[in-house]
Amino acid sequence: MSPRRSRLETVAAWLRPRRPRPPGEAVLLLSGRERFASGQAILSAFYAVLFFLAAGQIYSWQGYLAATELDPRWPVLWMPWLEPKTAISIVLWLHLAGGVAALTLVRYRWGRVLVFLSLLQFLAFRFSFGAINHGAHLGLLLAFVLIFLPTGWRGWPTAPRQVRAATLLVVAGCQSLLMLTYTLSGFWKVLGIGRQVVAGESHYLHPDGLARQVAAKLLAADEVSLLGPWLIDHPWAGLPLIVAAILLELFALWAVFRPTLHQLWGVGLIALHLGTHLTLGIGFVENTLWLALFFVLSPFRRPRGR
Amino acid sequence: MPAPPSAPPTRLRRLRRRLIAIVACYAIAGPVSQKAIPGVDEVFPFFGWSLFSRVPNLQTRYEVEILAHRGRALPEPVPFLRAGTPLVRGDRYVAHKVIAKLAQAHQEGEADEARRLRRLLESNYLARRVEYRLVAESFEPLARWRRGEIRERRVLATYHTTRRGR
Repeated sequence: MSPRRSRLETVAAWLRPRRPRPPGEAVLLLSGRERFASGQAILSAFYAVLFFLAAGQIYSWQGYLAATELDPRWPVLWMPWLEPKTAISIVLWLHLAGGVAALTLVRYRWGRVLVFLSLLQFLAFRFSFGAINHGAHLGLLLAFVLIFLPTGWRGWPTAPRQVRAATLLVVAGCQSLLMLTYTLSGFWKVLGIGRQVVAGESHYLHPDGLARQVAAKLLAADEVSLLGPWLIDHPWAGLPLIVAAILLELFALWAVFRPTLHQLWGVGLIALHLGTHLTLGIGFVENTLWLALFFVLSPFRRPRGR
Repeated sequence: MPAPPSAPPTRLRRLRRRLIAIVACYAIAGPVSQKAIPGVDEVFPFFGWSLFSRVPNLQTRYEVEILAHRGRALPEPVPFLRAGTPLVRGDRYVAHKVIAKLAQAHQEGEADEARRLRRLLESNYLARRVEYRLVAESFEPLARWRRGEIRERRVLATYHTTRRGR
């Protein structure tokens, strides 16, 4: 009879792959036809969303065209050379063209480059009004990685094994870059805790740490979130939430290499975004969509019933 | 004729190396762009993802308060975030970040930077012929939230919008 395992050992065992990976499974992970079809669907959905976002911007065009003063980011440093209206029109039409290309031309590498460049130009323009909003970065980063998709990635059912493997490898690259951003965010929070402990300040592991952060954010934005005031009144509830959030963020990149954890981490990080919106009033709506596509629906997750 | 057995893995390995290089470059370039270049907050699209990394113990909040419009004094100063459409316009979230940068540039005596940010604020977010003041408030967040305590409140400057047009 095997000795009884402690709870910690049980959790550790659950986080490890359930059995030693047999030789060849890694290859299967990249070349299976079902996984390839799933990857294709995710990438097609990603590009459809980029079109949707580009088309949705048309309603803001009038406001953008009225702008006269810009603080241009480096990708749009060319804009001050032209009349403001002309330069802004070029960026807006290019963005729309990139959106249409995302629906029609992404089988070609130059089409994917066009999608990336149009998005880079539009976002750089949008952030040239004095501040950068970080909720749109991931879409751009993913569009960049997808430039490396192999020729024939949309082929079905005839795509050769090598194309299937390369396509899924690029999907894994997208997942890695996506989760890297969360790991960095978690790393800085851990570093922040260390620095504030040394400085003798209140920090995230202090019982009122999260409540303090929520109060500061709501006061700065002069707004009230749905659950923020409750959390400030019940600061003890913040400690387990912030510890879970930091762990989810810090180990996000690690979870990429454990396909059994993809859904768990995807759902966890979506919950984190919903939680920050309900408490801090910060929305990362696009991120929740990318997490749903690339992790909750990950092509590498364990198929049900097997 | 089928490809030699070694060809596909080599191509895949090259792709894998490229993807790893992209992830590694972003991991380094992001934090460097956010933390290491003096005077530059970040180089888009690189970003270190240091978001809410520290718990604010003492917070300074910057605000614009509108005092008059078209030569008429308002009954009381209107904070930017609560002002209506005739007085302010555009994305208030972004505008508030510009206000914070303007106040910091003003406090650090960076006249050129303050002038540039003021032009940006007035052109994109404020109506014409507006008199406004730049205010800094320091407080401990929980004490301010619970009891309304403010440690210090200072008016940094008072301006009139200078641009013509709208």
